[in-house]
Amino acid sequence: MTDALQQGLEALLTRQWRCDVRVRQLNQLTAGAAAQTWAFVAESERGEEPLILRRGHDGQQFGGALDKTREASVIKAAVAAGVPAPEVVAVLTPEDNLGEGFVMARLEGETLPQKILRDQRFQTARGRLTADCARALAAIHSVGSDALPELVGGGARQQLEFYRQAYIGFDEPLPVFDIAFAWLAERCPESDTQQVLVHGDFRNGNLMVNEQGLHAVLDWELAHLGDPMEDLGWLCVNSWRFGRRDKPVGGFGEREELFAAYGEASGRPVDPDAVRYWELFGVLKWGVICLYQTHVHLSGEERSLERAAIGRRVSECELDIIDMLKEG
Amino acid sequence: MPLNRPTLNEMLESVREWLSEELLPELSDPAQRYKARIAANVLAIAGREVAQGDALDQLEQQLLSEFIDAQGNARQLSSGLCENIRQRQNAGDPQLLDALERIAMAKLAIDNPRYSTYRDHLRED
Repeated sequence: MTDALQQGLEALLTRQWRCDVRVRQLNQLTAGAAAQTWAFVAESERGEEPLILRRGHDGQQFGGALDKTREASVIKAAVAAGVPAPEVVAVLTPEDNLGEGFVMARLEGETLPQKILRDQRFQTARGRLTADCARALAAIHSVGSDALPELVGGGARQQLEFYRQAYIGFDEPLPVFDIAFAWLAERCPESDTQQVLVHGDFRNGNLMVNEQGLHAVLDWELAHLGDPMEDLGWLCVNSWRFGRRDKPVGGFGEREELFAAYGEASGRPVDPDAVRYWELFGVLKWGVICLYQTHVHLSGEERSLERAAIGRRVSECELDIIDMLKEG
Repeated sequence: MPLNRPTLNEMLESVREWLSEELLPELSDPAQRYKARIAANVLAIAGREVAQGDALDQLEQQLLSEFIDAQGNARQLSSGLCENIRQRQNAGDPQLLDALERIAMAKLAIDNPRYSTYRDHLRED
């Protein structure tokens, strides 16, 4: 299988770059069979280029994930708008016989949240990350719809109802969740008019950091059209602070700095109440995702130890929701 | 004659110990190490549930029965309360939130006593 893949990639890049390309050190990075990530080096007269291939489709993507072709288009549009993200080198076509996917630049940097938050090496970077993230988000939210493929849209109310119905379907009654759904329903922003490109999973864990700060925004498969405040809220969800609860933005920054920098970069002042809505929604959404993942295991759809364990993280969301509701 | 020792909790602890101290150091593949750590954590949760699960159940029953006029076990009371909240009753009650906080803390004492929010709450009280 690897031989066919290697040959296929060589043919693709040879055609793309109009020079002889050899593929070396091809190895699979993620263990999955459905959605695959491969690393390799492309050798040609251009030099040696470290690249990544992402292909296939993950069956268990709750709430919808982009197919690889559309994901590639979104990344390209984001890069064109000035977002730090990997350059998309090639998009697979049926003629390549490699399935659906794309090839992108393989960047160097740290993506593990624990390292980003605790390594001495990233001390300076941590100080810059909040502003870097604000600027990256402003750029993402500035991407025009004409630059984008067809994306799922829908307002806040639609999203809220989707997660509420999913939660009810799992038959794990949690009074805290029902209170949160009611609270959010009462304060749902009427954001049908505000439909911009939203990353959908912009958080510590999907950010590549180097010693200078934010190096790249990764994992674009949940991109959709929506309210830009959704991205700011998600970035502040406590689960993504990885233990640094006192730093609301990703475990590294303050909300005030994020809002000010975002307002300046985007020309759109941030309403803290709007972000608060999306942060509480984000905690609740993450809790429902945990329920979903554990049920994928329990139903036998796809068994995995990781999914079995994740159901016991729902209580983390419950306590975070209670804290936010008590703050008002 | 009752079952002999080791008890359920002692058995879980033995497996967790072996996994963490003997098996994990032998594993070099990062993916396998990651899963082994998850497995050890699952066993630790199971052990805490054996020790504290009944008390959590009783606490939940005791607290929730203040907010719903029904009989039943913790799950049934929870379910009934959720129904009420969906019908827009109880939702804004601050005392209910306090009760749910106590239950959530007791759940986290089993599921993840190292969680940041849980630890912050313990520091405050």
